[in-house]
Amino acid sequence: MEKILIISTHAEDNPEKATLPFVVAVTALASNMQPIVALQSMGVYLATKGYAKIVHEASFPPVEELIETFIDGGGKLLVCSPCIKKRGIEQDDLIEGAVIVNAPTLIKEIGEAKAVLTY
Amino acid sequence: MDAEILDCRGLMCPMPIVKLAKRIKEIEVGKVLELLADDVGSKEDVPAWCKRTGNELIEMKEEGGVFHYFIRKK
Repeated sequence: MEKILIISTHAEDNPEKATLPFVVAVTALASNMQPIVALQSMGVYLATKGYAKIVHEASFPPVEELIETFIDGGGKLLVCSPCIKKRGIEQDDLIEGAVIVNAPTLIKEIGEAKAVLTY
Repeated sequence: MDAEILDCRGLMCPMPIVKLAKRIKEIEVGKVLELLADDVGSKEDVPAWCKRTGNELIEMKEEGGVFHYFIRKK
């Protein structure tokens, strides 16, 4: 199955850019691809419990619904370790399915992905 | 045409394709789904999805602002 990696760096600071990665990721799942979303910078907040509820851009489904669909559909959600540390976010604060990683994991996924998108 | 209707009118992208993919997985090979959508982007999206997933788009038509897609599961 073709793997794609989507790097997301936004949350409430830019709801549209926070939503688009999950629109693409969920569509990739529906298209028999294997999407991975890597959250970096502000984007890591999307993986914290309850946060996605407050991000909803007009004309898009709620981010919370997209993330649930993504995780339930087998999508892989990576969260940048230094990005959560600097924000005081702990493992227990993260939603089920979120995996904390460092750059080497990202580099491995980049190497295996057919395409890498950055938002 | 004898087809099960999947009404995705009013849903925002990408939920019509998500629901289509889910339902297609559940039905038997050879069965036909009639997808109803009202987003003009679906005119490109549904053929692209069918091409990507190998399902057959038998017919598409527009009636009163509603797009009808007849898709046979392969």
